[in-house]
Amino acid sequence: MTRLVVLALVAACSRAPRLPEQPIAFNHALHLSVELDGRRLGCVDCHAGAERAEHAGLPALRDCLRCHMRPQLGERGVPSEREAAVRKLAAAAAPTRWVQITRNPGHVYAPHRAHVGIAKLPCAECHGDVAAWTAPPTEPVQRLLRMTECIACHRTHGASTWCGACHR
Amino acid sequence: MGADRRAFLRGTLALPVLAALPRGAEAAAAPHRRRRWGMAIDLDRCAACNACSVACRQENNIPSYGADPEFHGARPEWMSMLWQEPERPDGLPELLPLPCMHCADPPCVKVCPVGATYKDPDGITMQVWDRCIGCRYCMVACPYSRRSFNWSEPAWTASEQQMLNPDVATRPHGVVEKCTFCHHRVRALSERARLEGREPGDDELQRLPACAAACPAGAITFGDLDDAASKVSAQAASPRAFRLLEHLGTEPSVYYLKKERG
Repeated sequence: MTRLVVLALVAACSRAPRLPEQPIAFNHALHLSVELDGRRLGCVDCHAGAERAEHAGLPALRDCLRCHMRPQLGERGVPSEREAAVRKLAAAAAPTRWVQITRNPGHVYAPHRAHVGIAKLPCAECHGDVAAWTAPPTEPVQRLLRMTECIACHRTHGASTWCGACHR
Repeated sequence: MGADRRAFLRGTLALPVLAALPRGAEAAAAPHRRRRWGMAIDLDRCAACNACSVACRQENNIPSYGADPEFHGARPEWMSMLWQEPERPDGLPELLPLPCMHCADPPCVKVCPVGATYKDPDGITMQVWDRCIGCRYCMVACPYSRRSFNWSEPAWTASEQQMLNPDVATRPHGVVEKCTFCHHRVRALSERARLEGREPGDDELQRLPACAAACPAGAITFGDLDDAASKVSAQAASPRAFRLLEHLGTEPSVYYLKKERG
């Protein structure tokens, strides 16, 4: 019995660090399948800085409320748990405190505007298949690149490989 | 005919190569206009108020070490005032704002054993903090003393931590640092302009570095020395223009306009 407990403890401790819980259990797959005004929602609809700014950014509550001003009802006609969480935040006028899970080291400059806005790279190139996520990740998403990968891609695309192009 | 066939073959061979290029390659590979960044400092306008060096410190996260006597004369300085002996015995000393000269032929780059400092294709002498081993050869080589060594790990107070500029990495203990002509600002402006399908205009560039932006007298002008229409190239061609220690052949990119008014 003691052995079992020790084994369970070791297993629990050796797991990757768990991420803090997000304020809403956001379902990327569901949102990216939604059609609005005759077009499908894209990453840039919520991560508004992806094409023009250095950081893609996370949506503020008012961005959520553009669609969720009225409760979005599920197939059974009742609001889901996630919808309830949006309503709760909206009622309290509380900001959505998303937990940022992808962060570059401080000496790396990898602006979204150069990769998405200028080079027109698909988001999945660096972030993986986020469109398939039905719930926020519970462990850090390590799809961040190594410098050799950055350099290889920059060479293919004829982008600058000088140190100062990507380092602060 | 032979020439036509060669052209045709070249075309057909190039097609699959172009098709194989990943999406967005055309945009990224669009020709980028090469620049020769330079600066002009008008000494008639400069009142030696030190706003440029304060702004530089703020912008580039340069630690000050306060009044600690241990660091007297050894504080990192990217832009500071050079004292000149007065010409007349009763005169006050002249002060000269002194950034890195971003020489076209920089002695510091030649002596670096690890390639931590290099000449950017647009004329900026850059320094890769993480690559520097702290041998300080570059400090000895620089005839303008425009390189500083971090004798200690920079210590930031809690409020200073909040004020650090995220666009510039802080440098650790044992690393040489220097002025980069606010390269991060140039880089961001170039990207924004490219998104709009244009080149950065001279009016946007003139006061782009933190020192130039902070100068209340507009004495510091930044820009492209190769652009005949830019203000900085006009100032560099002025009969008042001179460069520091020109006889050394380092070809500095910083021009001074000598004092003509009392």
